[in-house]
Order: sequence, then structure tokens, then C-alpha cells
Amino acid sequence: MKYIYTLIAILWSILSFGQDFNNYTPLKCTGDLPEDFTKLTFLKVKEGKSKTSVKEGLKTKRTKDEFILQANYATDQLLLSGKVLFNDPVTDYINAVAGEVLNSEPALKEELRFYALKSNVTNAFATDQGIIFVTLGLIAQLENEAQLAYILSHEIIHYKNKHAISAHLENERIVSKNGRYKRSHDETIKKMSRYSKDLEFQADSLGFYLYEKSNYSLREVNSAFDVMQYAYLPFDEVPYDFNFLETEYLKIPDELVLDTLRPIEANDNYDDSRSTHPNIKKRRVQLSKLLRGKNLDQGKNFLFPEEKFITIRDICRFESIHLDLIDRNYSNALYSIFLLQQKYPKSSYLALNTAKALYGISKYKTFGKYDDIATHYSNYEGNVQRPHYFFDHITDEQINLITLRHIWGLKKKHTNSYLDEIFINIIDDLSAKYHLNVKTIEDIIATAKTAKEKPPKVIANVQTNTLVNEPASLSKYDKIRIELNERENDLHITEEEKEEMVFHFLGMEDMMQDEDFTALFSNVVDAVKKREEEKSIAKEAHDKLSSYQQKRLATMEANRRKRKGVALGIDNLVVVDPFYFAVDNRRGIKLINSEREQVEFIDQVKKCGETAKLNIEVVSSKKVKNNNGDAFNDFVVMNDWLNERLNHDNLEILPTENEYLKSVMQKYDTDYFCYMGVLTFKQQEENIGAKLILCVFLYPIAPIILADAVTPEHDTLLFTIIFNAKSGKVVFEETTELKTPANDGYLNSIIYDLMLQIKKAPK
Amino acid sequence: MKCFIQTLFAVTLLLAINNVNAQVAGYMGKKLSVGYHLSALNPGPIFGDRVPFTYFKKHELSLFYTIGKKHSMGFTYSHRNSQIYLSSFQLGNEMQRFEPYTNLQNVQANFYEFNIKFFKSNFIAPIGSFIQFGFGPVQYKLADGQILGQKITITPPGTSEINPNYVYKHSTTYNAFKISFGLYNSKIITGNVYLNTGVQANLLAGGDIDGPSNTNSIYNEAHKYMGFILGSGIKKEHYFDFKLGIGLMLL
Repeated sequence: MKYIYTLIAILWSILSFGQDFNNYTPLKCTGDLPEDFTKLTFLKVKEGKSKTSVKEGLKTKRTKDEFILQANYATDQLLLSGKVLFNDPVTDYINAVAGEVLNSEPALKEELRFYALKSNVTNAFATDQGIIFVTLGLIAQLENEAQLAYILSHEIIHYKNKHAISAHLENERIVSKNGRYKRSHDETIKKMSRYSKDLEFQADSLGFYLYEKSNYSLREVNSAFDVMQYAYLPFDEVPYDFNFLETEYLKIPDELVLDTLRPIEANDNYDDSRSTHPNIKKRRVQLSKLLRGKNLDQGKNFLFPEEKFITIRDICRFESIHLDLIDRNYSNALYSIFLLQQKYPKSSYLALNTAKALYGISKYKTFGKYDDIATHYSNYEGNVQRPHYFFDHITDEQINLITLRHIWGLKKKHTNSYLDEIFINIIDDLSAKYHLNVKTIEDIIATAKTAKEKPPKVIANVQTNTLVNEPASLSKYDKIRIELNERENDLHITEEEKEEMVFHFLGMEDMMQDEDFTALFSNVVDAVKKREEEKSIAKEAHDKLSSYQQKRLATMEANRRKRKGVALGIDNLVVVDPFYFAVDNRRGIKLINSEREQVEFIDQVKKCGETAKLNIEVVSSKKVKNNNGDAFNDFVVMNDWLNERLNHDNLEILPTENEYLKSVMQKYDTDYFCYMGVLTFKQQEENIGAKLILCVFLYPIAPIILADAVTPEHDTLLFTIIFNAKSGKVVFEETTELKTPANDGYLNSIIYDLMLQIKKAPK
Repeated sequence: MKCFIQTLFAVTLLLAINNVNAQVAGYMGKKLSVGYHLSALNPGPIFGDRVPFTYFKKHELSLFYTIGKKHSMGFTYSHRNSQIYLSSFQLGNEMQRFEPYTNLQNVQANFYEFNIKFFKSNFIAPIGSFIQFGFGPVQYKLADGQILGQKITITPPGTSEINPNYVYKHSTTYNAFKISFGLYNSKIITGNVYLNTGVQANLLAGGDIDGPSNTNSIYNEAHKYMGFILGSGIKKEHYFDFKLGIGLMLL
């Protein structure tokens, strides 16, 4: 085993040092899939249950079995979500560090598996099956290898001492109010929290003893708690500036730059009475007792070369941008980009992601949905407050022009089709929503440069405060609102001031002299004009109809679609991870059945597609063979794209993941991705009493009524959604509901019909 | 009745026209299906007043074609063996009586039906729950064309002469028209084989009454009775079918 770890370390060393941050590409899994990914859940559950015994008591065995079922199901859901990495530099590094920590525990070293988890949350956790997940967000925050080693030691103890199942058994005891636990709901929560905190203290102290046996520095145990305490902040604190946006012509006004930042507070003595973890202060107190009398200078911060750690940490930091873009945390992504650009100023990955983040903000501002993705800047501490303030206060028109300007600059340096697409998309918005064209922009620039008076107002997007200013009639809430409003006005510029700004137009002066740009802009404006005219003609014709005729037309169209379906004319289709979820409301969630049915459902979808002569490919984590890491990576890319696309809801935004999806689209030779699944519910028949009474009155058909009363109700839903990956648009969406169990024949019938509709060419 | 049949044909025609351009899925591309049903229990003629709770067996062969997402059309041929209650009856005049050995006589009926299926909620033809309408002619006759019994001739002094092995022959085929309405469910059991279950209400109408040409004729007296029992009675034989069948998707 020692040789394997050495080999992994060498391989990982080659891979990690081979990382070119200037042309960074997101992490991918490599090689064969580990058994944790390929083994079916029901086999894992079977194995887990075989270890429980009735000797522990029937009730305990039942609770444990239930826990094993739930824990395995949840862990497998995570493993196959595409968020867990394997055979990648970060996972290899975690394994190497864990190997050092576990040198004194060879048996545990064999049992445990460590994986990196693609998440920006600073966290690590152990499962009852012996899997320890470490988030990329945690590694991005670390100062050194020793801190990771201590955190791993803590998690290893959770596994070694079976804390997960102990907590579950204890919680069950508390909830069922057995024995001495007979308390209020609040008391129950507190009691659960107290037990969980005891386990955390135990993991801290026993983890410390395990850590102590390794060669890592004791001093770094305390600093590991710093990582936890300041985890809510970005991975570095550097004053933010807007140089990356500014040019000779574009200057960001001081009014949009926050002067005074909220100081970093990071209270470590917060109320933890309802938390699963003790607060940091209490944990430090316990730790200081453990450290008393120890030689803090013993051990090292790095057992592997420090450069390796730095590289791995930088990979995680680069990944955090990718994850922020998927989660639509655009301001955070821009701050991370800013931090990494200090070290990697020539990175094309960072430059392109700047454009993606700006594009995301522009679109949400344009749709008036910015509040959906942003938390008010006042909730942040430290330097990250500045980008949040800027994007909170910039108007939609301003951010659109700034983004356009920035992408134009990037387009000159980088050839990227995604950049071209979002560039056109922004011009489209500027033309359609703000009615800007080359002439209007030139006029505004000329006016702003020559006239002393204020430039003309281009758009009206003022949201006036309509609060009543008569103190006598004010309610408590009005007064609070006024005060909050005044406080806001004290802090930043008014809406009027924002409108008077023309810096974003002035920033385009050089672009307006570029014939390529003006020609492209004019072409898009003409296309938008034509489209809007067509829309307006159609709307006019529709408006001429009476409301009855409009309703009739809509009904006829709905009926036509129901009767004849649609014709999409798609020849090649990729179905991504078809899901199957069975719920029996009488007996809780039928997890195992769902898995078996899911495997059958995947085959069904493929068969129906093939019968309909559709070139169909079903990519599913459940069907990836253990030697096909490439297929798994394709699945991960598709899933990331879907997650981002679903986050955008109905907004027409080109997902930033399009860039990575392109290679998958080429591989499968399609622009269309289909997501489908089955949800099936079973529940007790309602109104049984009424039905029994009905039997008395309608005795000739009493057997039928009785049969209906005792038969459970079924409801099956089949979801289908097809995206055009190029445009991000939904081309087909349907939910079919059947009041029956999910019979294979019914599903075949419906899926085949769907496939025909997908295949059929429109007339 | 004529009007009703015309309406049904009109509806059928409309459905066909309506589905001309529709995409017909069938079951995994198969639109033609053949089926067999067995109805083995009859709760009796609900509206009839003659024979309560007679037992019958009905074999049914059907051929259906899916014409749209929600519609199928087809023909059904059914052969029913049932029993009818006969009491003793006169053979021509009051002096001659025929007493069958058994009161329950086997009757055969052939049903020829044209059917339309309308699939419910989100089911797609030909699989799932559906409502079926049907109409068509029915032919009815005594199974063996004869009844075994004894002929009793009452002689004037008050005695009677009994002919114990008398065969009363009656091979007339009676006609009627049937309209049906049923609730069904077709469920795939394996591959292209499906299980069909359903309940169907059958209304029979227009049975012919084979009236006697000469009321004094022995033949006509008996025939009048049979005409009343079979020919006229069929009009009142509205019944429910509880069906269980199996089918195969062909093309």
C-alpha cells in the first residue's frame, strides 16, 4: 500500500505541476471509476445491513438498518451528482496527506476513501461508509498542508468512532421521547445539538492525538480554527480596484466605488445552543488544554513540497470561479478573479471568466432580476464589499455597455465563440430594450463631450420612493422604511445621479471609431428591428381578435397540440441521467425500488428512442462503466450545464457552461439535450368512511366501491424537457400525469410518442 | 335508431378526417392489434323481465387499428352461449302441450360490432384506459335448433297421451341491433402482449317478432311462443359484460 501511495504522489506531482494556469481548464476525473461510484446502492445497503444484528435489540437494528439505507442512498446521490472528483490532482493530494496522517493506523488507511468535492462551501465530512469528502472551497482557504491534515484527522475520528450512526440513534431516541427524554420541541433540538457537539469535541480531541502521531506541526492545529472562523470571507483580502474595466476612455466614477468598508468581525463566540458544532471559541479552549505542555515547534507545515500545496490550492481557487459562475455568484467570482489575476495576470481563463461574470450581471440587471442573485453589499465584510457595492449600484444600461466594452477588448486578444455569442446577445439587448443604435450612441458621446449642460436622459429606470412624508399618518413600518431609505441615501448615490452619468457611453468612444464594431452593431440593430416589427404585426393581428376569439384560438392550439403533438425535427438527441423516484406515502420513500426502476427506465428510454429511429444516446451515472472515465466527464459537463441553466429559470441567458459543453455537443453530434424522469406516488385512498357509507346505498356495486376504497391511489408523473444547448432555450417541455402506477407499458407508450414528436420534421 | 346510427357514422368519419395529419404513435410503432376476450359471468338481464341470473360464456375476437393518439377503431365478433328459460307451451291447440325436459335451453348468439375507442387522460392509444363505443347486428337462435321434451295430448274424456321423446325443431335465427358502451384498460404484460379488462353495458334493440300467419296452426302456435321468448325478448336483454382478455400488437 505504501508503494501505491508513493506512486499516486509521483503521478499527482506530475499532473499538478503540469497545470498551466494561463490556459487553465476545469478539473476532470481521469482513469477508471472507483468502486464507490459503480457499485449499486442496494448492494451497499445489503452489505451494510448484514453487519447489524438482532442481538442489539430489534428496535436498534431497525433504526440502524434505516440509517444504512438513507446514508447509502444520500452518499450515492452525491457521488453520482458529478460534484465528486476522482483520480484528479486535488483528490490525489488529499489522499497523500491522509496517508501521512494514517501512518499510525494502517487498518483505517485501507478502509477509508477520500474524495474532493466540487463546492465553494468550506467543509469536510465523513460518511458512515468510510468516505471522507473535502470541498475545494476548504482547500482554497488553507494556509498550509498541516491545517488540511488536522481537519482530515478530525473527520477520520468521526468515521472511526461511528459518530454518524451514534448521532442518528441518539436523535431517534430523543425524537421518540423514549426513556428520560420527554421535552418540548425546543428542548429536543437543544438536546440533539448538545449530543452532536459532544461528538465534535471528541473528534477534535481524538483527532488531535491522531494528528500528533504524524509529523505535522502542532502549532497549525490552532490556525486550522482560523480557517473555520474566517471561512465566510473570500480566500484572500486585497483592496479591490476596477483597473480591469478601465481604459483610456472608460473611467469608473468615484461615486460607484465604496470608500469605507465594513470591518471584518468574525465573532467566534456565537450562540451555538442549536448548532451541530460548538462555537470556535469553545473548540479553541479545549484545544489549548490539549496543547498545554506540548512542544509547538515540533513537526512541519509541509511534508510534501510547499509548491505542490500552492499549486493544488490555486487549482481550487481557479475552480471556485467556475463554481461561482454556475451558482450565479458573479460578484464573488469577479473578486476571486481579481485576486488570482494578481498572480496570473496573463491567464486567459481568468479573462474569459471575467466576461462571463459581467455578462451574467448584465443579463440579470436587464431582466430586472439582479436581486435574485445578489445579497445586499452591506451584508459583506472586508474588501469583497467593494465589487458588491459597485454591481448593486450600477444601472442596467451602464453594466451592459461596460460589459460590451470589456468583451470587445477581449475579443481582440482571444478567439472564442462564446465571447462572440454573448457580444451579439448584449448588443441585441441594448437595441431591443434601450433602443440604442450607432447614431444615438455617437450623439450622446458628442453631447457629453461638448455641451456643458447635463446630457439627455436616455432611459427611464427610476424607481421613486412613494413613501408618505406626513409623520402623523406614518405607521411604525413606514417610519422604519423611511429611516432605512435615508440611511441608504447617506451611503450611496441617488438614482438621479446615476442617470446623469455618461461614463459608460464615453468609454465607447474608441469603439465607435472602429468600423468593424459599428458595422456589426448596425447589423444586429437591423435584425432586432425586423424581429420587433414582426412581433408587433403578430401582436396587432392578435389584438384585433375579440377576447372570445383569442381564447378559442388558444384552446384550439392546445387541443391541436394534444391531438397531434409537436414536430421538432431532431435527429440526434442526448438524454442526460434519466431519473426515477418512487414515493410510497404510506411507508416513506422507496429508495431501493427507485434505483432498480431507474436502471430499467434508462433502458426503456433508449429502446423507445431507437424504435422511433432517433439517434439517441443516454448518458447516465448509473450506466457508466467503471473503465469509462470519459463518459463520466461528459455526464459531469452536461450536469453542470443543466444546473446553471436551471438556475436561470425562464431567463434567456446563454449559460457560461456552453463553452465546455461544446466539445460534448461535437462528440455526440447534437445541439439538443433532454432531461427526463419519472416520479411516482402511492398513497392511502381518501374518504374511506364516506365510501363505506356509499356501499350501503349502492349495494349492487358495493364490491366495486369497496375495492376502490382499499386500493391505494397512484399518481405517476413523467417529466421531459429538451434544451437547445447552443441558445440555452427550452425547445420542448411536457409533464404527463397518469393516475396509475408507473407501468412499463404506459411509460413505453408515452416515451415512444415523445420520441416520435422529437424526430418528426416540421412541415 | 336510424338517426343514432347516422350520428355514429358521422362521428367516426369526423374522427378519421381529424386524424389524417396526426402523428400516430401506436404502441412502440405497432398500430394493429388482435385480441381475444372471455366473458364468463353474467349478472343477468338488468332490464329484462324473463330470466334472472343466467350463466353464459362469450368468446370475442377483435381487430383494432390505431388511427390517432387518442383513438382506435375496429371490429369485434363475439359468439355467446347462454341459456334461456322455457316453460311448457302449446303445440298448435289447447289439446297439445310440449313440456321440455329441462327449462333452461342453450341459445347461441353472434354479435358483429364496429367499435371506437377513446383513450382517457394522458394515455396514448392503444395502451391505457379507454372508453369504447360499439354498435352492430346480433343474431340469435337455439343452439341445437331443437328442444327435447315430451308432447302431451289431452284426449276428450280427460286422459292424456304422452309422447316422451318428442323433438320440437326450431331453427329460426332472430336478429337485433346492439349498442354498447364500456370502460376498459389495456395493460402490457410482456413484449407486445397486453391484458385487457373491462366492463361493458350492452343495449339490444330491434329484435324481430316472428308472428304466426295462421293462429290455428300447431307450428305457428309454438313458433309464436318462441318468437315471443327469443325474438321479442332479445329486445329486453340489456346486460353487462365483465371482460377479461388478451391481445397482441401486430403491425
